[in-house]
Amino acid sequence: MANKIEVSGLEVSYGDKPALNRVSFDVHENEILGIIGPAQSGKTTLLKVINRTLEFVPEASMDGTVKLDGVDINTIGDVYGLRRRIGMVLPLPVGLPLTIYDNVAFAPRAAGVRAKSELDEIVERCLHQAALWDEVEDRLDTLGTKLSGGQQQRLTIARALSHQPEVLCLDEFSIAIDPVTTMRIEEVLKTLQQEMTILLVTNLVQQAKRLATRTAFFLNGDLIEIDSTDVIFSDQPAHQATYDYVNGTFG
Amino acid sequence: MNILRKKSRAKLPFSETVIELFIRLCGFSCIIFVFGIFFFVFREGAGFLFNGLDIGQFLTSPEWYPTSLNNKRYGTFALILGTFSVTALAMCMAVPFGLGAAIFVSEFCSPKLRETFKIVIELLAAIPSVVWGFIGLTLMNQLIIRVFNAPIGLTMLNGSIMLALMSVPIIVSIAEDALKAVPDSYREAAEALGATRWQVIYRVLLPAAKNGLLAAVLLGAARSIGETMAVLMATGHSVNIPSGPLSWIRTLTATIAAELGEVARGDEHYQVLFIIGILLFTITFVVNLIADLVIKGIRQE
Repeated sequence: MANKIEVSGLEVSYGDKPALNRVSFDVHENEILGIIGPAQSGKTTLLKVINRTLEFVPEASMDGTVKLDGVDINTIGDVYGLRRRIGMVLPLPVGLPLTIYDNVAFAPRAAGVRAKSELDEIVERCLHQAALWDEVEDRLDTLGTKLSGGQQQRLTIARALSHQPEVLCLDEFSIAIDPVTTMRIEEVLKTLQQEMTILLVTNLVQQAKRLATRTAFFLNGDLIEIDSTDVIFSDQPAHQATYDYVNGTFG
Repeated sequence: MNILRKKSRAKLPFSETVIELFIRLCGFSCIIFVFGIFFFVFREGAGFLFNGLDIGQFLTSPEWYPTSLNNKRYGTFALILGTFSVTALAMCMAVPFGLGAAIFVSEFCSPKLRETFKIVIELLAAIPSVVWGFIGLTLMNQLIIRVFNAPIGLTMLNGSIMLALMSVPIIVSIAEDALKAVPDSYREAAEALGATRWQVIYRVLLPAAKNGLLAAVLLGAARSIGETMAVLMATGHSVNIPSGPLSWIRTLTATIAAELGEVARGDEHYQVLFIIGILLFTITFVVNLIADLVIKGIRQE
């Protein structure tokens, strides 16, 4: 299976506080990689490295390489183009203070799409994919920030899909939404897996078990173990810490 | 809600009651002051306003001859035009500069540079208007004569440059606060969608901060309309229908300032100056009202 992302020797620190310690792993094409671990284990930092928004954190420094399709992302000149290849869904839904339509059309417009028909089509497709279309189709011109929390989170997913990313990163997307909506989005992710590679950072261990092809367990900035989800959740993962965490002994 | 409030008030200790009373008084006092000032200005001008003044002529005639011996004429049209034209020209310069500077300070500056900028901008705001007038009278006067080959540099252009320099600091500091108040999560979300810095600014930040930015512009404009000393010194102070930026003009405020000291208390001329005061009051009231309505409209959207 081809590697979509190759991380090798990745070290990140904020000032003198280390966040990731020499982490190396691969992400396969069209898999859902579950990333689990307690708070402060470096999961969110990892996502920030991948779409290069770590650059906005002034005190952050990084070493090692991350390759997307075999190309070191730090050598990519068009950082905006890179970010459009990666969809990002943040823990708390951030509806931009624009209409629902403009929220979804934001990234295509930033990339230079002008034709109204093309934008209409993108908006409709992405809202369908994010299982939101039926609820908002008759009020696309109201503010995105007026939607409920769960709807806003699906709006951010629609937005992340609007630039047809190759990699979709979700950072604890279900933190602010109810279990029923969470299940609907999980169904959506299973479908999307056909088209893209998904990195699913989650605090819900069971969510990783339900969705992930493989699962990586992070602890205090170290990658403890990465293996197929069946192994991680079996009685004999390679490390005792993994077993303890997924079985709720700590964390 | 009401029941809750009454209940809690019954339990308030004495000191709380005193503090609440004092704060209540502070709140109401500003209403009392505004009405008090309006009442005083109105009382001084009312006699002539309702008995003798031709209001049509007052508003539309360009002839301002309050001291003529045989035919006194009180037309403020030229003064109204003067006030509006100098303010409009000043805003044309101050708004783009002010908003641009605010965007720079808020979005592109390093934190250290930002602190320096803020101190300098506050200093600029603290310069008394008579100093600006002095600069207009000496430096800018010479400059305009040389650059435009004009016979005299004390013109609408000169006054509006001074007004622009005075309102830019107000616009910058309020607009910068408005931009800083936009949550960082908006910036992060937009950047993660592959937006460039400039796209983030004009697609997300400016729409999100538009209330505050509008307030900044209107406060800058209010400062310009109300400004007296600098325009008195820099615009030539000559009753004239302006024909371009190089005409000399006179404003409503400057007229009051220049003439009030030389009139006999209570006579017609004195009262007309107070009627000009009422006119200024009305103008600022209308500007504020429009601003309120616009902001309300934006909110409902």
